[in-house]
Amino acid sequence: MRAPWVLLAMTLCLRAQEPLSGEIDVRNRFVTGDRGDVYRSVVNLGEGPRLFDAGLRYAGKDRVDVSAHSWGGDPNSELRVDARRDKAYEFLLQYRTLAYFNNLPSYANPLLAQGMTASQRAIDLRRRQLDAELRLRPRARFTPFVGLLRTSGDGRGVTPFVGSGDEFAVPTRFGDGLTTVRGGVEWTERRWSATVEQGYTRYSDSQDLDSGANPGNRNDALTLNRLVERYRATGNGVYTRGVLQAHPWERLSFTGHFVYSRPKLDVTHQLDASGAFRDPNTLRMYNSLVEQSAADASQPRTSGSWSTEFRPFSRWRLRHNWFSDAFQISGASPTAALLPAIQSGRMRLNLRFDQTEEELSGDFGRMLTVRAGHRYIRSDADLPAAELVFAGVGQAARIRRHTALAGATLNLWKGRARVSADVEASPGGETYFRTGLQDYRKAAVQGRYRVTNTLQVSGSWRRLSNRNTGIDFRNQQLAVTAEWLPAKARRVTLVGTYARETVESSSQFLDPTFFRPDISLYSDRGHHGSAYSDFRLPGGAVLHAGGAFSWSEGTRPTKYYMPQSRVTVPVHGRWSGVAEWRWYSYDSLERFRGHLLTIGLQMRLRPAP
Amino acid sequence: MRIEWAILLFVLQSFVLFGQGGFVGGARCAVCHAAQAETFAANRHHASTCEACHGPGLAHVEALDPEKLKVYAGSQADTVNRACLGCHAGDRRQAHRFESAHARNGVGCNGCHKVHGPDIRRQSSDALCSSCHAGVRASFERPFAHKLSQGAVHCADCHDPHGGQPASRVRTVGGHDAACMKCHVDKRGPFPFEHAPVRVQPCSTCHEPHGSANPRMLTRSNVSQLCLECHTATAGTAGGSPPAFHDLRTARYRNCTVCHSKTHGSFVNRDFLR
Repeated sequence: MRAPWVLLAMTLCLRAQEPLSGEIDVRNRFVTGDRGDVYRSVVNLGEGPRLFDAGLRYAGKDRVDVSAHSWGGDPNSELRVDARRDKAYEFLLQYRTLAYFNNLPSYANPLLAQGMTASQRAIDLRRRQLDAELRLRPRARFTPFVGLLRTSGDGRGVTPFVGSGDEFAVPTRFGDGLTTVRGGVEWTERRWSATVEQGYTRYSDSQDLDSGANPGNRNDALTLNRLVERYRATGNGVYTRGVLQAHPWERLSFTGHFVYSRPKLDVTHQLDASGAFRDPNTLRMYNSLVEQSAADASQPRTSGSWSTEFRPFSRWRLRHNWFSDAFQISGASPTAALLPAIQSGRMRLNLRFDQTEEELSGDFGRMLTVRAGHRYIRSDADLPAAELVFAGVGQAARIRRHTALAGATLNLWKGRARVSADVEASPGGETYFRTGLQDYRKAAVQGRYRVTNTLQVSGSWRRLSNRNTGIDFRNQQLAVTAEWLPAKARRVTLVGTYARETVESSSQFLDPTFFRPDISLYSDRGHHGSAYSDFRLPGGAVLHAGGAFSWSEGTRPTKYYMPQSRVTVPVHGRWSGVAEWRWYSYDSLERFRGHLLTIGLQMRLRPAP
Repeated sequence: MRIEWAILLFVLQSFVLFGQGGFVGGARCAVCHAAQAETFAANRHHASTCEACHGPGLAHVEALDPEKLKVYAGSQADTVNRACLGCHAGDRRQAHRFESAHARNGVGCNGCHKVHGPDIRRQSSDALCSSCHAGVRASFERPFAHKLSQGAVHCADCHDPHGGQPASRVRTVGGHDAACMKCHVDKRGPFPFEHAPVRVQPCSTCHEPHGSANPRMLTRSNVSQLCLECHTATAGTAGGSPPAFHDLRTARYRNCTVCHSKTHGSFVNRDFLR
């Protein structure tokens, strides 16, 4: 938390030095209006002093770029350091914190209709993440590199505890951590290059549930008097990655990729609960629930790909790639069950996935490129059973899918306009689940037109229709964006985006109680957009105004508005004053309104070289 | 007499330059292209000369004809890519460049990168992606979305614009994990009791990764609707039907995750109850 303020102080001390440039933006934010759980679940920006942005560049023998964003308590903070010296090293470091809060009663609360508005699944999580990579002697024949990824999170929330016969919403605490250390070397020759990388990962996950007296969801004789539950999972794994690239001849290129990993996990679980419980199998009552169990899992996984690009003629390309992935997850819980007796379990999931794709593309002059191809997916899986129905029986699932691919790209007016179209269609075949692609058509058209050097218009249209067993799904999206970014001397800039998206799904299912067929319909017809404009006012002031909106009609009608405006006024020399207003309005099954006002100062150092 | 000497000097110089393969050097280019030369000096490519990309400049200098140089403005993406990959092909980050969606759709390296300007990218990376992927950008304005607008995530955190391994549109971390697991660590597993779709289908089967009107960025507005898409008795697809005591008329059984709280996989329970 203190690092950005130290950075700011260092900058103020060092600003006289010649090679340093950049700017710093410090503000205080005030929030008025609704600041309850719904606001926090959607926006979550808080009050107080903030380092909004800082961007510094040191351009001496080494070039160092440091940027910091949203420090001082905001849910999303980032610090980035990019340092490099030609032919000596490249160093990239990114540190960020993320806060995730979600407490919406309308999500999975069976008691909402009875007026119970407390959520049964809430999360208040803070995460910290450090990602760093150092490459030595970049673009030399041998380039060694090392990397570190460290992610940790902790928080609290509410989660259901499922006792026999009832569910109880109880407070929980959780924490997790992941550390990955990796290193390798790139070997580059004139006609080929190879990379070998070796990594090691450590992983931990814990969850604690502690509760006193709790009436439960059924509101009958079943109660929870006391609960202590502990999950502890630790794991580790190694992985090896290899990449080979070669272009032995001007018309021929190869890329091969191989990854092997073997994560494994050990788990202990303890549960001690007292209350009034009912065993649904025997319908007998009992008042103590004790479990102590251990479990483990491992997942050896191997994947590889090989791609070839061959140019039989200078303007024709034949591309072939093959991808293969195979893994097996073995899980076992040799449980020592106490009261009541619970069963031990084993789980196995095997998957073998192969995909081949061929595509021929050709350029017709400088304007037109066409392509056509074919993709075939063949996959076999042994899935764990849906245990309640087919206890102990695994399910075999397969994918066999042929897909036709075609597309074209049109370049007009020396690259000022470009239109690209793609279609993909499969006549169906076998698939794992009803949510997978089966008999589907996918089409996309995307275009960009640079009307002038400062005005650009782009648009896209996409459509997917998929028919699986008992499910019809259609998704269509039309989006347009316009950017008018004249030279700095001009007074107005404008960036605007509008998108229209529709999702329609019709799913047949069998009511499990009465074996009666029924239909589940879902639709989402949305309009989304944003428009932002900068006006340069007399005296060097800048007015930034605009906002974003999202309307959805259909199964869950939602209206979400985010208008905003900001004024930046030069105060003295390198200093400018900033005042910003934002309004958030969310209206769906829950709602909130909130105003955010921020006031602060920006300091500009010498302009970046 | 002076004119003859000048002609002789020019011819001799031409012979010297021809002997060097027709290269004239960056200083000669800067005489006419001063503005590009000035900004190019701050670009990462400044160690290269103009002719490394544009080819020998002698013919162009003599004839003052743009056609005598390799000029990439308006060229097919493949032509631009080949020129850039002439040097960058060995970079492991470019390994899947020729099979990437960008390359296939005619987006050349210069669609995103500037070779002459002080910064290698045309705009900040998110703005750059948004300028073409307008529909995706608009999804981030929905109420339940990854906070791209607040600067919490960037497009390149999850996607590699240079292309990734086939059958994958997102980056991988730590071997095989999808980029999602970089933040959603607790979903990583392997779990002793796996929920199969989490392993064999992408996260986008149940979640809208860019933004959704539904809480938890789900693809459907209520949980039971989502679960029943797979969990119903159907020939030919996996999933299976819930047991008969799941009376969907009651709110309790329409909120599947109240009981099956470990839907991403469980450490200890095969029915994902805990």
